[in-house]
Amino acid sequence: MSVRGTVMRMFRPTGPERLVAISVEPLGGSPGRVSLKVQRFFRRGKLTGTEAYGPFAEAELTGRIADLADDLAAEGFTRAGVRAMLDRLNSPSARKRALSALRLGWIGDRVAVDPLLDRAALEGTELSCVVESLGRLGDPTAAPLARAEAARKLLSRRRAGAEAVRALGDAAGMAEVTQRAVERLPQAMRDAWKAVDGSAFDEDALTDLEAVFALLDVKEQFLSLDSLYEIGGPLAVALVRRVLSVHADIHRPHRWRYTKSILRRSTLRDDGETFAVIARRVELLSRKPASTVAVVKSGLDGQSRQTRVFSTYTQRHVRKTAWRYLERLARYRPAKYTEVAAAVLAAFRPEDRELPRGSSDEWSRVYLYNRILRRFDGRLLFNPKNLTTTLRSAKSTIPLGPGVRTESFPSVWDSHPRPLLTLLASARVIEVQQFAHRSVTARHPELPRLATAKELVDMLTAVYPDTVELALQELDRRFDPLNPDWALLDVLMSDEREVIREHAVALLTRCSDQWTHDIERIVRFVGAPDALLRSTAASLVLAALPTADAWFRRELAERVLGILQGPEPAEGAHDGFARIARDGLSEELNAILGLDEILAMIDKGSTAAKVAGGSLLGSRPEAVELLGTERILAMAMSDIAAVRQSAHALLGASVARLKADPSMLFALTDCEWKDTRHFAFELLRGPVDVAALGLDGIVGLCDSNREDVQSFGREMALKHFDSLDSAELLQRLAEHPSPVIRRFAVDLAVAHLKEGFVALSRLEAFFRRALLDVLPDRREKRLVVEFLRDRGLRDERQAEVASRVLGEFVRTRGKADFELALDALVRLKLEYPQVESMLGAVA
Amino acid sequence: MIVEFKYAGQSRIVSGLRDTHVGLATNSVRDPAFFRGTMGSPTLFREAMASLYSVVVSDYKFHPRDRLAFKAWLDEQDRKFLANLGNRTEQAKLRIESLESRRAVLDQRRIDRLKPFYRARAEFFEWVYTHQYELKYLLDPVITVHPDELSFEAFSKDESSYARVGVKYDLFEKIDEFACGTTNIDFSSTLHGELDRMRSYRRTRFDIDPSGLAMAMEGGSSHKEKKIDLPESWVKGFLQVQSTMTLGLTRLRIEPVDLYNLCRFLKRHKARTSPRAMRWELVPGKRARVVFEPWETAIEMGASAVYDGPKPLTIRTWGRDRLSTLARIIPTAQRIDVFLAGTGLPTIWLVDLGEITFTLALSGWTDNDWTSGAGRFDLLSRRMDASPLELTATWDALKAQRRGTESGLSLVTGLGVEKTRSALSYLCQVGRAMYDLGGGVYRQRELFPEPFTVKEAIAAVVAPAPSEASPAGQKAQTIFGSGGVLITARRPVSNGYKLSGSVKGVDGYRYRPMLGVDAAGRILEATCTCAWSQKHGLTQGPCEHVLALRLGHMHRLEAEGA
Repeated sequence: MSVRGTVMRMFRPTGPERLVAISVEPLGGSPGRVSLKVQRFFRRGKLTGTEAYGPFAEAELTGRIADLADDLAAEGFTRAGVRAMLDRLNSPSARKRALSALRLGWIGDRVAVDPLLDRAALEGTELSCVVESLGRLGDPTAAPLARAEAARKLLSRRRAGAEAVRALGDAAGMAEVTQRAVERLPQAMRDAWKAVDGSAFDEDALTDLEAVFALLDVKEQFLSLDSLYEIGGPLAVALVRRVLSVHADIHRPHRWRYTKSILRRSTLRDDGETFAVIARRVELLSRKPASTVAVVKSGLDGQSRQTRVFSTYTQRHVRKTAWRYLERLARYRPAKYTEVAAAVLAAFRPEDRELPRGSSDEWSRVYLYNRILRRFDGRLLFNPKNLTTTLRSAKSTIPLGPGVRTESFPSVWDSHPRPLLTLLASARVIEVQQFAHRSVTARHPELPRLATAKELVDMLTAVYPDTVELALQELDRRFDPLNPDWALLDVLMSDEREVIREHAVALLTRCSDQWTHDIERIVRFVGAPDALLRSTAASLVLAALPTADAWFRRELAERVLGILQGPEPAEGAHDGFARIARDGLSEELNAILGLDEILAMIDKGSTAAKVAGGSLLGSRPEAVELLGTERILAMAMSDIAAVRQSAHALLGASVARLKADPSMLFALTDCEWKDTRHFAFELLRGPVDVAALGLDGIVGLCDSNREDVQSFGREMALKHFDSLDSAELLQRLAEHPSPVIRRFAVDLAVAHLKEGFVALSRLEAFFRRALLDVLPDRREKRLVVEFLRDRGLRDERQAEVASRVLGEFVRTRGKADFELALDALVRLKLEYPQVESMLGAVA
Repeated sequence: MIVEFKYAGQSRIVSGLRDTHVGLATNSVRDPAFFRGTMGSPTLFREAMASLYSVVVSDYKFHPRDRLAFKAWLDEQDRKFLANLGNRTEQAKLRIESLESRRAVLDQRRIDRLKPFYRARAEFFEWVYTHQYELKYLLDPVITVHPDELSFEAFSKDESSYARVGVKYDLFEKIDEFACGTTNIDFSSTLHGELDRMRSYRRTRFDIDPSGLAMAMEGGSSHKEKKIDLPESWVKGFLQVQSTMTLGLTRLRIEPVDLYNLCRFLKRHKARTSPRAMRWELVPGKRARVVFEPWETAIEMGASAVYDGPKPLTIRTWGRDRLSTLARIIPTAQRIDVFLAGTGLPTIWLVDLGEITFTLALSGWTDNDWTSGAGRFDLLSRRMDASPLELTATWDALKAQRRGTESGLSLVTGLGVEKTRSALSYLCQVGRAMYDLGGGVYRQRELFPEPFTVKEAIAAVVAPAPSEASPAGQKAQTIFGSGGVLITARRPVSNGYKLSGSVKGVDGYRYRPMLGVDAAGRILEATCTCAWSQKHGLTQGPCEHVLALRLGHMHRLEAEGA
């Protein structure tokens, strides 16, 4: 976790000691404390003296090293490379001057400030690089130059100036930069930007800006994005990241120029997340031909000319520059390297994989990913021409041995491992997760203790099971059921992800003893927005209630009652309280509540309150008198199951009344609620005699459109058949449109239809309907045909009816039906030749 | 056009042990039409209304399969595949397999546990869908109280079927009072369910009244309002049906068992490949045959279906599954008249239930619906000139009598049969009258709530006839105006004229249309050598060459008359 080894080298051109190396050495037996060693050389390999300083705490290490560097500077030493770079600053080659200026900025030695300002005064083509370096060096004397550059029209110079002003912390200069950037915004975006507070992140404001961005002209969209990024601030940066992560075609004309500018700005600001978003998109776009040719206006001379946009050369340049930036970070700002590299790795998604082909694997063509994570993987071969990494041989798929490290700058990862937690929390690619997990468990086992609650929560939903395991272990370690971390629980409970809330519920269950006797916490958990949490909390409270003191139960009952009698803040918020009231506190509530209050709950309360009221009402037999049977019948048809159940209980207690007037119960048999219907059926089967309703009642049951009521009606019809007028019953059933009842009626008719022409002719239309039904029911049709045939054979008048019905049906195209009908007709004709029939027509 | 429906009450049927009360709430924005009576044969009415309902809710248009679930499954497979790409070791694969199987078990348990919830949710969605559908999209049937009958008219959901139930007053034991007029009735699936409970052994009180049955539940409101964006095409659909009904149609009388055989066959056979037409083979003096493609199964109609036309005809119609909406009324039907217009043209089924007449008009095929399809049957008829005064006079006469034949109304107006016919045609075109195919009479039926005024009459007359306003009609005028029409043969026949001619089209080529028209200029049959006619026949209306030939014919008739 701490810095080890050589941290700084310094150089002096003259004297007996020309080289100095400052290194950090751990102190054996004193963990967390180090010493600084200064080694002096005449030249490399020729040591002339060593000094040791310390011991120091690791926290004060940076300051001590800076002090030592200042002392050595006083002796004439400068940071290694500075002198050479200063010399090259005067090179006739503009490229060399630019590169040396940039290097000076990275080295960070303020000795370079004056030479750089002198160089800037000459206004060579390397001016942007000089200004950028001055910004990195952070010397306030460069502020006037930076401000002047920030006011330029040319994008590269304006960008360098604006970013230098930002880096120098020049508040007044930054205000000017911001004002100019706002003025550059298209009108719609400018108005939208002025309407929001850019200094704070706000999701709604971000959505508004996104909407405005979407409506802008394509040529203005990314221009405004660059200007917003120049303005900076949480809202603008969030908008830029979101837009860039959503837009897959950043490489198109009018977009790429500004995307590239944002990328450059992000490296100057060391804004890892924005850098990662663009770097990932460039990597993905480089996989297939993406360049276009368009006529665009040059930023340099303002001329419009045909230009290749996002060419292969550009792609290679940008990708390599991105890695070079990371290398510089690793060398000069190691703490930043791991942060930015972690952001890049976390930006990749599983869908960024490609199908392996030949010696290429899933990540072969993702240059930056390979440089950061697999640079020292001996199984792979890097091709600098096309920036791909391929498998050396077929054996390359064999897993690496334990302890083998493949990432770039392993010592930097070891010195600054905090971003590994970022990877564990936010990386979506399993290999990245594996890398982070391996690093943490092998070298930084104490790291999870530093994880924030949010990081821990995110680790719980990681794609790598071992990461989840790690998070759970840390969660278990942190969570003490006897002294729960309520703040952590709050974070878990308020998370959007269901799986996290499930963990919260599990933890809440573990520490239930700590809150099920605390009314405030009960109210909070049972009234939580999450349904699972509400339900579990209610169950835990119910489990704890039997052992609770009487006063506590009473207090809780009053509190629950108060909540149930009030308005429901959101749908379902009363559910848990209703359960507690119904299943755990009914005794206490019955003691507190009068019948009027219960009825008020049923009439006006929330759905949950109605449920609670209904369950309480069922245990009040005196309610029968007060409510009256009609009101109870209406309650039996209520939408609330508990209210219906209480009505059932009350009706069950007033059987004597129902016996006197069973028609009241009859209304319930056709209720839309199954439980009420079945309750009515049970009463009609048992204590209340349905026969008292007579034929009208039983036919009324059969007349229902509900199958279960019809079935009950059929059951009653058969049970009381002997006491009913069978002819009338059949006549009525015959009018039912349901095929089921018709089948029942056919069976009854075949078995019980009275003898004679009158009874048969009354059902003629019914038999016609049974035969001419399009839906096939062969058994029913056969029964009807045979029945008609048999009845027709008994006398001539019945033969007329049968011949009429069968004569029409015989023209059916159904072979079996036709043969059956024809057979019946022939028999009837043979028996009664004088009866008119369709036989002639059929023949 | 936003049409407002306001119901002071709710349509409801209350069935007691001995009585049934049918209360149909009418649109209070429309005419105060009402009817009160007691039904003699409620089961017949029940069956007819059940069929009307099955037409209203029917949708036989092609709906592609919902592949969302399949696509989600494919995405899941892709995700799994990509997630597994990084796991190369056997051990990892085995572990994944075991975890997957464990997850499958847990998933199944979760599904089992949540089954009641899913069921309840599905029921809730169904309830919401039904209610919202009825509230927002279901166009309530148009009901008209005539002096001799009640009529209910509606279109199917796919707008390819039109149904009309005409209930004669003979169905009622007793009629207390009624006021003629046209309005809408509040119609819902619940009402349909309640209709099924009508029985002849219960005295059935039947009221059509603005308040319906004002029996709101405690705490609930019986007041109901709907605002439906009535498509103009829907109105046009009504007019198209009228145009088709006044065409010269081939009529066949079949027996209920014939329709039973057709429906039974369709129920049992589903064609998976084309052709899928129902082919009518008509040979003079012989019984009509219906052949089902592609099986070529022929069903011969009964003795009453002997074709009496002059020459053999083969007519193919599509969308035959729509016939199943008639299945319910087959057992109660006494006779059925089928009216055929031609191949790919509409078919009209007139089912006589005794006191009730059920009319089902099917468009040529399901996608060629009445309301938005390309069929322009109004082009086939020809409208003669009628002044606004003549129009108003005819409308007044029709309003006074509520119904009448062309000749009967001409006696009242004193305009002569031809003028009256033209005026009636105008009134049909503007939705003020309808033609009752079963009764052979014109009836007053106001499709719009606003009363008919002189202003509207002037507008109707000034507006060009469909045959002139349509692109084909305008081209025909141009052709005729430029002298491009040459009648090569004209032969008087029993029902009008047979014509053939040579027409120089707007493209400069000559075509040879042949035409059969009645005395009023209504096209009975037509063919042409142009590509349009070869492709569509008359299924999308006549081509400009046929219309131009008719113009030439009518011009010559007028010249001869002069």
